[in-house]
Amino acid sequence: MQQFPFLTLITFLPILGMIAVLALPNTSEKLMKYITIGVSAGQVVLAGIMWSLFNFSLPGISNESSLQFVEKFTWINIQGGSWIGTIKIDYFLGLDGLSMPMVILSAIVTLIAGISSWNIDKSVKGYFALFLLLNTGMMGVFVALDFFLFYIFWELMLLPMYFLIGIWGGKNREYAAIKFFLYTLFGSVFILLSMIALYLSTQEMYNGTKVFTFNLIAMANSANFTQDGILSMTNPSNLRLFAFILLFIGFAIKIPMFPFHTWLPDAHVEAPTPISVILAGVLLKLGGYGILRINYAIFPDITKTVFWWIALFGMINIIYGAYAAMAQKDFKKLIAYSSISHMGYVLLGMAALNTIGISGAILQMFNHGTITAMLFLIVGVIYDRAHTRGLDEFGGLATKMPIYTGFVTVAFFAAIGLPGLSGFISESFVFLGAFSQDSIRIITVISTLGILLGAGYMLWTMQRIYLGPFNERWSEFKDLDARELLMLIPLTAIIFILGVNPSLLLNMMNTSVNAMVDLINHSPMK
Amino acid sequence: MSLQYFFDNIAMLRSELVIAVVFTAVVFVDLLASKKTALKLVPVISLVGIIAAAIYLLTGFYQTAGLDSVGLKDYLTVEPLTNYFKLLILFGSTFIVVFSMYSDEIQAISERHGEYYSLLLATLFGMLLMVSANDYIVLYISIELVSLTSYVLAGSMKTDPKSSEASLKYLLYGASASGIMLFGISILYGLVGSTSISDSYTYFSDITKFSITNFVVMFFILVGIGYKISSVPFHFWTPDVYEGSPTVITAMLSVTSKAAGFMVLIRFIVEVFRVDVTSNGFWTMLEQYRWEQIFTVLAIASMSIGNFAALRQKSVKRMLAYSSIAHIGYMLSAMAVLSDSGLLSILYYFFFYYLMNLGAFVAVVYVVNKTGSDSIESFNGIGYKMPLLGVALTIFLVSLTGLPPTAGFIGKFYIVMAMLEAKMIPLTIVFLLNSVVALYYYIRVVRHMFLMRSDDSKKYTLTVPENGILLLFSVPVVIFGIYFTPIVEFIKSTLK
Repeated sequence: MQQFPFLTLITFLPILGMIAVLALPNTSEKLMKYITIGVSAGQVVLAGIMWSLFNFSLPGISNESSLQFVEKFTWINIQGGSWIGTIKIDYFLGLDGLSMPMVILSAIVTLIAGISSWNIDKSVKGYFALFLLLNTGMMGVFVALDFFLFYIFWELMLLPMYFLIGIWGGKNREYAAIKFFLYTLFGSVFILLSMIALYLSTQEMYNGTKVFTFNLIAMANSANFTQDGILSMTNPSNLRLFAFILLFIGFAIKIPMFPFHTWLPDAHVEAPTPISVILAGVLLKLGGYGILRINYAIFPDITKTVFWWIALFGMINIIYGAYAAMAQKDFKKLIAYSSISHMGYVLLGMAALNTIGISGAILQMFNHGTITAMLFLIVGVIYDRAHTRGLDEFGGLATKMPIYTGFVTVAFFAAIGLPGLSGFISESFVFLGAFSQDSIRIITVISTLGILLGAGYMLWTMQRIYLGPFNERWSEFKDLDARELLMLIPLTAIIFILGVNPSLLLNMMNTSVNAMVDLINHSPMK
Repeated sequence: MSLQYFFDNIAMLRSELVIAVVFTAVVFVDLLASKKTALKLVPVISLVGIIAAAIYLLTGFYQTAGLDSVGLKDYLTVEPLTNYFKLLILFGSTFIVVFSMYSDEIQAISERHGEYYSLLLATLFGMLLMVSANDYIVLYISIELVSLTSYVLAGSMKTDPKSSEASLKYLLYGASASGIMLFGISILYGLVGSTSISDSYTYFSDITKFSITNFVVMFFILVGIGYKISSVPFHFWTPDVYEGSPTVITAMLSVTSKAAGFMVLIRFIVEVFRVDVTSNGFWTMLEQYRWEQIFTVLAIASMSIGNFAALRQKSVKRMLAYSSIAHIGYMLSAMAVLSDSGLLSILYYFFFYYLMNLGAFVAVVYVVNKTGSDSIESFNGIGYKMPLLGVALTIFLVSLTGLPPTAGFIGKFYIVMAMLEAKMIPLTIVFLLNSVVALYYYIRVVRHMFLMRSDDSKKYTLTVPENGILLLFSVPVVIFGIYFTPIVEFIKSTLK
């Protein structure tokens, strides 16, 4: 069935934008900004159309025929006489309930970050070209279903991100940029290793013969593993566990999971506001998505044996992130650590291995994406005005900037998990799911402490910056301008809507999550 | 010996003959023509000659029929595989000549252009012979031809003390290494009674003649080859020579002469120690000589020492010298697999390595032209002064690191695949972690180009042909990273 190539368009639209930006003369900076925002707006529209066409009853995951918006072409096919050196790579894009929410999130967050980039004034051309390249990389990872293609998109993000932090960042930007780059590459070489090992262990039918494949969907079907491959189901050595751990480390660095998290506070503090928004809103989700799409779907048998450890690390993330956030003096660093804490809920929800828990984890990824994006914008608002972010340097801003403080209150309470706002739904789903999984019940109980701590540091920040006596040093502060409202209003709307009606997203992922839970439950026990 | 015999053998020496003619032509033009004409003519003759040699080679690329009947086959092997390496060497040399025409370092010694280009061609002749050599004497002579001419080329900026130092160091190391190799060859001749490389298989495979002497011989010959490809622990000459030589000669030493050396290594292993090839492409070796272990150790040492030493270098040329040691280590780890897929992955890697390394060197040549120094500080803000050069050099360095979507990633991808086919997981992990280390020093150059601003506000511009050369390398590096089917299929066809 030849249909409209939605996914190619949504992925490569930014590349077209990048070419346009590069072709423009250096003086037409306004036009470059309009192009970038236009591209992102186009992606949001495309994501919206796909949402309206999306069939909620098709699972995907390990069943290729139930994927949606599929585009599959042979990209590289080297066959020939002997099997040595043969290779087949497909250009294979598709969506299921796992990736659809992420595509929507990515489109929205990138649009907001694009608007937030409006006051970039240093090497504008380079900035927007790299921004658009990054956009393609992020979108590509969510829609690619061929492991090779997935990996190319995955790595495509590194270089733009390095430059975006390294050139447009704060004082310590070079250190933060190279740290981000090294950490992520360290993870990706492990992904590469497992990717090739998986390739050499799975085969699918092509033109009547069995050939090795990078197809992620075929890999999720245990019948496609060869008998004597490195990672075959029957391999008595623990190589499957080993590959699982390598992949998990690769993705955990992106999440970021303790003890691989130390790049995140540096990167966030140094990155310009729009890049922080992208980093928290989309890049961290890539890790969670990767674990679900690759670790869970391809290694369900291993997942069943190690989920306790995932929950444990989730707990450490939640508690450690929250305590670290409490100790910060810099507003942005505080949000960065709160991010670590909130991504811990994602790990905990995944470890539940049941529909509620995994749905909660995906929902939490989406909500964290919107809430944290908003929190970073909030930091950006005062940093633009004051050029400092020290938590103790402000006070009583609520009197001077009432509208701003209103948005801050919504975002803070959503992060804490106040009922009626989106954060509450996902956190309660995570805890419900994790609590019903017997062996991680104690971990879950300890993790709930995170909510308390979260409320602690968020409210304390509220008090230090927005309440109390007004610091006269900031008497010229103006309230939000139109551009800032334009960024904050949609995010606030999403937070309210998902808080009241989470089924918008839950229905979308439900069938797929059920399929994944089935996959895990029916996999052979080691 | 009849004239017919000579004509029968021409087909085996296609490119060598052309290069020999061009060499003579360059010598005569330099002697007879006026100084001004010679200056213009000599580089052009060399360039046209090398391209002609490559074309002539391509006309008989797959020709093997008719070559078995003639006597020269005892000394030379001609097959698609050797032709592929010759093509690589000719391709590299073409650009070495082009770079020389644009290098201020070489232009400054224009009064010695005749000897510079004739030595370049003599080196090329030696390398082509080295690739084909199937006899220890031919091998030794060709290695000596390459070495002796390279010593002079390394010192061609004779007023620069660093260049003279490079030349002398190179000479001392080279003389010792080839002396040791010759000693090994002479012992081997005493044992086998023949100088043919293929004949020594019969001797080595005879289990009754297995002794410590065999290891000594094997090791001595390995010293000669290891020095040529600058694998650890025979690499000590590399950094100083690379730093002191004119940048163009550094490029030549790090690409073309590496390819020639590697083909010798492949020939030595395949002819002397390989028993058979199994149906799935793995080589059955003479187990008692433990090549898998030797290569694994050499590979790990070369990769790690090359990469870690590169981390702290201040001179970009020196950094590239250590990185070339690391790249030899990557290819040696593919060698350790001892299989057809390992060999193929080396062939792919060499092609991609040529593109990205030559590209990186030409960018460095330009920067040295403009700033007069190759220290990493002289790269500060280059990305803003010469944007095209900045972007191109970033592409080359990213490709050398091995990140997609560049050709360097495809090269590494194939090596990892070959290693995993043989289930060599620990070596693969060392290999991949080394890429992460390499990122740090490659990206350091990028950092100086884009993240740092230079103190002065000098404007640099490159001419159109100079920019064209950069595009000629950087565009294929990206394209082969995305679509590599044609090149991979061509290279596969050389290995039957």
